[in-house]
Amino acid sequence: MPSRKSYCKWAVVRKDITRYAPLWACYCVVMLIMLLTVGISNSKTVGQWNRCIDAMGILNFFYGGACAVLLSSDLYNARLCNALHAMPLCREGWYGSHAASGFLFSFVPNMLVCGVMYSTCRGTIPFWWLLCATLTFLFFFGTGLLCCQLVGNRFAALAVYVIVQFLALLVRFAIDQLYTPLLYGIEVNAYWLDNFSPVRMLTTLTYSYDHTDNLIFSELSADMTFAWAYTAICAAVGLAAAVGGLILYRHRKLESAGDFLAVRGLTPVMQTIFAVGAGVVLYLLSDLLFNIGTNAYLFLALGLVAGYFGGKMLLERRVAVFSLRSFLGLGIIALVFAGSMFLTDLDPLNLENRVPEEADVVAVDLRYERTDATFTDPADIAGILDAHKTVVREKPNQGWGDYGSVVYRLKDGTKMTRCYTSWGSAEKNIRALFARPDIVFSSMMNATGQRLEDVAGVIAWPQNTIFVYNDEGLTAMPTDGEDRRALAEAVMADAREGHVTTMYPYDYDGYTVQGPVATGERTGETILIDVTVNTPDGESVLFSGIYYADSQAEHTQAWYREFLEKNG
Amino acid sequence: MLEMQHVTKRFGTFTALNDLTMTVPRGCVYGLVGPNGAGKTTAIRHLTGVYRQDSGLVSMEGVPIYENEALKSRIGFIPDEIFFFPSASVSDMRTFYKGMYPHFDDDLYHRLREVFQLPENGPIRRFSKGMQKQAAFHLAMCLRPDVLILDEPVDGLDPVMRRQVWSILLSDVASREATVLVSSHNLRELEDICDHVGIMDKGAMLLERSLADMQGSTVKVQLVGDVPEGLNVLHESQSGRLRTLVVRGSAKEVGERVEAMNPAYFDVLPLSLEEIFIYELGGVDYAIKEIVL
Repeated sequence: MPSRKSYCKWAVVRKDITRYAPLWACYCVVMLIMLLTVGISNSKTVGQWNRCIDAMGILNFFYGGACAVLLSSDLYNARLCNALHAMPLCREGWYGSHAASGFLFSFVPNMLVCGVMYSTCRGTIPFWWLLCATLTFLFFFGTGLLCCQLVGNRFAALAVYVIVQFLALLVRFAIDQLYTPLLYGIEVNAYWLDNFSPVRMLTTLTYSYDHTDNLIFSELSADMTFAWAYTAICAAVGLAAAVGGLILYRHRKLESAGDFLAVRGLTPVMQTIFAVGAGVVLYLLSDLLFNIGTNAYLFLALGLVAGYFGGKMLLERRVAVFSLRSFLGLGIIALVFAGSMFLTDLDPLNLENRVPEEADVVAVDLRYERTDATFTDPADIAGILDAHKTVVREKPNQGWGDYGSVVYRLKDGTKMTRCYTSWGSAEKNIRALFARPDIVFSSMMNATGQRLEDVAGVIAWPQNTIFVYNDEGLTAMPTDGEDRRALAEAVMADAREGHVTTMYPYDYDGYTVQGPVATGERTGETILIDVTVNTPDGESVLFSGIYYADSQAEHTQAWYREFLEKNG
Repeated sequence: MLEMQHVTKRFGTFTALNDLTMTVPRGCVYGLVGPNGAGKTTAIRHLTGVYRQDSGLVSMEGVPIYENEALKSRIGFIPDEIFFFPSASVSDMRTFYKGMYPHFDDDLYHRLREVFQLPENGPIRRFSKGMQKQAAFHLAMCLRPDVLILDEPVDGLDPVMRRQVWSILLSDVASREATVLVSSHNLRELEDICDHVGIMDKGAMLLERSLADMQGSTVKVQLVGDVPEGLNVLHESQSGRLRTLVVRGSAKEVGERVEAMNPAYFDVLPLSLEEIFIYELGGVDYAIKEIVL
């Protein structure tokens, strides 16, 4: 006859509160410091309180994980574990009591902080802060509890917790650094994997405006809506993970106390993660520190071996792991890993050399040296396709230039994307495209959204100076804000009329202008302007580039004459 | 009261309990003995509901013990390796046990303080081994358990405290009909207090019966003369003309058969528990080996 089960025992919760008082006391101190920092700050803006909300992600990554590991640590000491489980409390009771303790460790201090915030901060910010703190804690604590049930000691709990939180990033890293370079011109967009790394997302999301003390949902920006929705989903995942932890605990073999893994079936998974993880990290470090190119693959192999056997030592808790069977496991992992890289490099689907048919292309979005332009003219499209064929034939070194891409919008509604920073011998053709006045103007318009009013100002380089190329060579002239505003309007007007090009027809070494003009001859004075146009709030750059206004650029030339007159 | 029926437990490829069957009657003091690695502690952990068996049944009054809070609240357990929370004092542990066990007797706690005289507020981890055992015993008795399971309970206690502890235990058994299961290697001590004994070896029960039956069913015979045929001899040794036999059978039966051989001298003596242990296990190849160093 089964007895009634307790799901939470106050004696256990009370014991947890006293045993782990240093932990939640540290958390309270951190909260106090946060309150004091904002309270005594000279700049008591609402933005400062809002930044407290943004900080809860990173804080709870550490605090939630620490709570989970400590509250589960009874399972890692065989003597303690056996003695406690002989007591009249079922496993659900132990788990529920520790989970309740963990929640109290966060919620009670947070409520106190919230109360203090209400007395000093206007609006609903304290409520939103409490909500964010609770949701992020639920995620990290819940996943921490699940990780703790997979393992048999504290070190393993921390290791698995960190691995789980950063695994998606590691996979993305591996794809970006190992696989993407093997595909010429093809960038595997693995950034969506970041969505599966809540530690990265929750520590970088923006939850509120800096300039308002009320978060009203109708006024939430798309980013803020995403932040709150993502956090709520993470909290739900955390709760689900906690339930998963309970299920594991109910079936846990207590004799696993002290072992690395409590769930034996995870052994090959962990060995693979250790091996691949160490290989990728060593590869990245060697390339970053020594810049040794393909020789870094040697470090990849070394890391694979070191990670595999190091992981095996950790998992089996012994040093003598170099048996024949061990090498078989390593061989399988290495074969799969190397095989996947080889297969990628081999490009059996011939993705690298694929160029769409001209008849299938509706438009081309080209990005070259920070400038975007869209081409719909069949002649332009044909030119771009020819350049593309040149690139796949020559396969020039892509190097470290500004990110460039070509996106073909096809008739069947799909898109084909390739990424080329360097176009080889077709480079001049691409430059010539971007130097066309109509393209310069349309790229400006793309950036400013078709409104001249969006042009807030022009910041010239360096130090508010414009350069003019005339008979005397390149001359630097200082400007003020009003000058630059008028100049931007003039440049835009001339570009609309087709008298402004980009720098690309020229070879520009920073001080002198040399070489032929690829788009045709220009006569008279040519004004060289380094233009940076900002958004109205001055926070973001709309577009930036070095533009040449030729002698037919009446508006810019008129501005220049007025400028010379004003400045003598 | 406590039963283990055909219980098997494996840890990986190692079989710790191999079809173990054991019965601990209500109100008895049951001694669980066996060589090192026999599975005594593993069996105890099943009886206290710590481990779940791979097969078989572990029950108290016919009800499975595992994850049964009501039954476990009636079982007190003192392990061989004492556990206390780090930095906990006797008073802290009392508070914790009060919260965990519904029948915790605070009056008894205060009365037993006179006996054990342990510091109330200092951390138990600073106590000596013997003092920690006393603290464990103090707290376990206050649980008022119907079943008390003790793994090496008096190891580390001084002789006076050992007697005190046994005295308290036996009076509890007598007054409340509590059931006690003791696992110990000190067979001489067990012989004084146990009324039932179970001898384990290699995860199975080798021999289990009341101590009186056990001592009555195996005797030691010293004789000068011929050994009668048909005797179930567990062990035989000779010193000069004197033969010493350990024979399975009752004293009366064995005595009659030996007497029928008209030996020059014979005597039938009872065996101590220690001797029964040694000779029974000698029969399963766990004997004292003569080693030349």
